[in-house]
Amino acid sequence: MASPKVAVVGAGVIGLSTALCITETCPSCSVTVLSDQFSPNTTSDVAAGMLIPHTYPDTPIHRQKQWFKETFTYLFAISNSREASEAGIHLVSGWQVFKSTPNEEFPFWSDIVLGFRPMSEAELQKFPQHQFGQAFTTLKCDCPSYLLWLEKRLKATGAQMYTRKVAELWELHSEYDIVVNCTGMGAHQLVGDKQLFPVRGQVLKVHAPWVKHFIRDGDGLTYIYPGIHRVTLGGTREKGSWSVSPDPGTTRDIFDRCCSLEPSLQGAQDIEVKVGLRPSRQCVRVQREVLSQGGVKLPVVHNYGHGAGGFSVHRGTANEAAHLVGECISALQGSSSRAKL
Amino acid sequence: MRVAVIGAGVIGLSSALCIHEQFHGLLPSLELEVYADRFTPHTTSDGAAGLWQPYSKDRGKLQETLWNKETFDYLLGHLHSPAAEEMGLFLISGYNLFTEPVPDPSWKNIVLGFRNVTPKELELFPGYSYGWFNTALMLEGRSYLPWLTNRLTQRGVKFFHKKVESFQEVSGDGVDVVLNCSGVRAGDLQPDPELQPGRGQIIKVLAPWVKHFIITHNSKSGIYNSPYIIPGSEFTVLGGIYQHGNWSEENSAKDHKSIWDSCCQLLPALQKSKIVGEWSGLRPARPSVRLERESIRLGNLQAEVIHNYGHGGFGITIHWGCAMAAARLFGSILQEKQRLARPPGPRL
Repeated sequence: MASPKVAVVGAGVIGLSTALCITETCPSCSVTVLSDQFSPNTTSDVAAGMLIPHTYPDTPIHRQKQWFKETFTYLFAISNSREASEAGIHLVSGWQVFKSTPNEEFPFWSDIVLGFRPMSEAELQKFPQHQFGQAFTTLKCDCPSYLLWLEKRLKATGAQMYTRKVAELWELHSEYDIVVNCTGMGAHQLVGDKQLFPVRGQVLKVHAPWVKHFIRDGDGLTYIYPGIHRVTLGGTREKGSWSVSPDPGTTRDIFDRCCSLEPSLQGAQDIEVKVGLRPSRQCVRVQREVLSQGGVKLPVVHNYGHGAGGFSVHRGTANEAAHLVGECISALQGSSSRAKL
Repeated sequence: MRVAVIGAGVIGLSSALCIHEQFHGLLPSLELEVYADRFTPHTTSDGAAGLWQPYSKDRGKLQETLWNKETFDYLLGHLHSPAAEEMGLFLISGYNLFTEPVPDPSWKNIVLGFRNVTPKELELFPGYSYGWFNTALMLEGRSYLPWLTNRLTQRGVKFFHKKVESFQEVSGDGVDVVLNCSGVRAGDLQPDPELQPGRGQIIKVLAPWVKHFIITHNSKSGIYNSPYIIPGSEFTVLGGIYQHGNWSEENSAKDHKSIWDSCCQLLPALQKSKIVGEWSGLRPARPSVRLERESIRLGNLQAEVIHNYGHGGFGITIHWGCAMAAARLFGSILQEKQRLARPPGPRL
């Protein structure tokens, strides 16, 4: 197979980074990204993009750690380069604070982020309602800059991008040799994955340029993440809610909770409200599958279900998915009974 | 009781506020007047980035360390007040980088979360093999000085846009105490060979992705002569110039290139940042801060002068400690005047 034709469905951070990885691991592949939405209308555009991993209950910890490490290393190099501002990648320091001491003082990712240590008594004075805290420095991917930068990198490799709503993966079998499914929440409908469920998140994006640190409550519900131009204030984790409309009561509640962590936010301006549905799953689905109908086969690589941790592990899962695409290509080249139109 | 304050930078305004806050209640007749040829946004304090950080090498002056601490604690206490944003006050973390191990600074326990820079972090800064990371404060002069001015105006303090040429000029008029906060040009009022300009130049850029201060140190070139990057609330300051004895307030193309090249080497992404301004200022450098009383004989009048100048590149860092010390000196002047005014006789 001289030039395998690969379709990547989905243009959020997972789709674009997976497509990019495929162009890197398989330069002879022709890669096309198909999606009904592109930045700034993807779920990724709503996310703050902080590199603080979510723990997936059913994925082995060593695998999650590997994904996070690969992602952190990749972005760390970008943050240190000329491209940093265009790519929207920057370092940010801050604190994760807990109202009561957590069971795990050193999460699995504590040796990957920079300078991780428990907060001192003096630092905790800033958070009178919290007993314990962790200080560290990590990276933030500012969307939509990062997505636009990924798109630019992809175009430079010759990859194509088309706005197209794919109703079922099989419809691509005649045009493409391999399909990569990075549809996030869309996989619920597209492949009928009932293990995938939305966790609704509402956030505020505000103008508060004096806020230079992130602050996150260990309960994961209240957080302040300073981006390049806006600060993301969050949030909610409403399991099973499909609503994409902002709720005004929730806006007030988020604002109040964030102001109690950082009183200076009272002076924040230009409040924008956004909603995203985290495509959640007990484990991220990075897996090969072969669809077949009437003797015709279509290899599929799934890469979806990253829930709250998409940015934190995106590059690691993209690498793994690209590797699986490589396996599909080898399998196709080994097979002698594939008929193409 | 009339008090004339000479100078409207951070030292003049904060000393004036401190004295008014402490003594106006006791002395309703207290009248404060601020005289300056330059007001915000044209003072030295306005050009400074506003980072709280003393020099890395201890000048061996415990008094200054105590004033620095007093200032930090005072500002930290205001961090959660509604005034913080208006004051231009916020927390900021960052890096101090060195080419070799150095002793910890005198202020390591004053700032928050002081630690060494990890090997992984040092990968970001080729050429530097050692460093500190800590959380400190920013107090932006462009906001703080107007805030101080508003507080003073509310208290009835009067401002005069005037270049004072001599102590006589203000003291002859029934002024009892002169507060000399004239910064780098204090020598025009009274010769002081120890006071010299420490010329600095900065480039202001838009680089809102930079969230940390980065200050490099080079023991050979000396303090502030090594690149530094300090992100503010509206723009980021690039600097790294310290020229002792240079009185020029003109921007130099050579210094511009030196700052730009060295900062871009430190943070390559700065090459894509937009330059929005450039400024030169004169740090009022002195081997130690001059904070003391002096009785000045002017004809048949005697005026009490409180000197408070010579804060080099750490004026914002030390200002409140010095303002409190100046207020204590003012208090002792008041006590003496009261003692003199009291009629002789047995004490109750």
